[in-house]
Amino acid sequence: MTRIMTLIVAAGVVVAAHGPRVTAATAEETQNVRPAFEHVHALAFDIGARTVWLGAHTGLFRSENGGMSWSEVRLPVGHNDPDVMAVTPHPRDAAVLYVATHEAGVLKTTDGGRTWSEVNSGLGGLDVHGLAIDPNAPDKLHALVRDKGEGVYRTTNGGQKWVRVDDGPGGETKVLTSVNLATGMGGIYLYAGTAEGLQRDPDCF
Amino acid sequence: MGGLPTGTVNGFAVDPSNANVMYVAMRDGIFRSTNGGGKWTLAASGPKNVAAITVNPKKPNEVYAATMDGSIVRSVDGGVHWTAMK
Repeated sequence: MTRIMTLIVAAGVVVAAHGPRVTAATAEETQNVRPAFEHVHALAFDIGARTVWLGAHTGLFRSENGGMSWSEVRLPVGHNDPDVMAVTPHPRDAAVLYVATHEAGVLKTTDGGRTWSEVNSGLGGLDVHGLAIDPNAPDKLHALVRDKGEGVYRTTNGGQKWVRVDDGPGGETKVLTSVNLATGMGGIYLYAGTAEGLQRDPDCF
Repeated sequence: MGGLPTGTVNGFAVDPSNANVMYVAMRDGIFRSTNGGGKWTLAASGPKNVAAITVNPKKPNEVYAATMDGSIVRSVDGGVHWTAMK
């Protein structure tokens, strides 16, 4: 993916609209019946399709009723509302979820969001804009780090240790996803949504 | 790899039951491919300024998307028609 990702679409710019900010919560979770998020970055079902997770500039939210109402989920980092850039559910275990943040790296829960741990060992920076989990080998993930330590990092043990493996796609990355399409080289594809369009590359670098 | 407009890809989602079916969220709207990204079709009834998108793993024709201002929309026919969540 070192600047050689297949360019699927050419460049462009999107200016994000500003929506109303969700009122800060004092409890661990706050009901927000009418969704009002600022800068939505990510949306994801858990594998059981019971929970819809939403990541935004104002934090992490969950819905248990198909998006009709939302609760804010407090993440245990040194920020009131971390900027959640990616939400990556485990493809087999609904209790396991990874979250990438703008300022605190990657967090992981193994109990459906009740408790969280930072899994940043080996990451060169904590501004993570993309997080992809391998659907065939869920302990294998790729993280796209921006600015300090920028590049693509890989873990093969569920986030216990990350190793930098590539420079990453050209253009600002918005989303990174492992797609279960065989490359013919023993791996599958990583798709990246970027400011320069949709790009993909074999994940075997 | 045709059919996507020039611009930023904000969101991307894949049908877990068929990885050739994928969705892209862009300022111009929601686009769907059924051949791994070779060809894309705009969901004409979908919203603009789309920030994120996801597929229900239990009902792959049910797709949710979020717009940049935080509105949630849903499709139950694989992205052809979309309705806002109230």
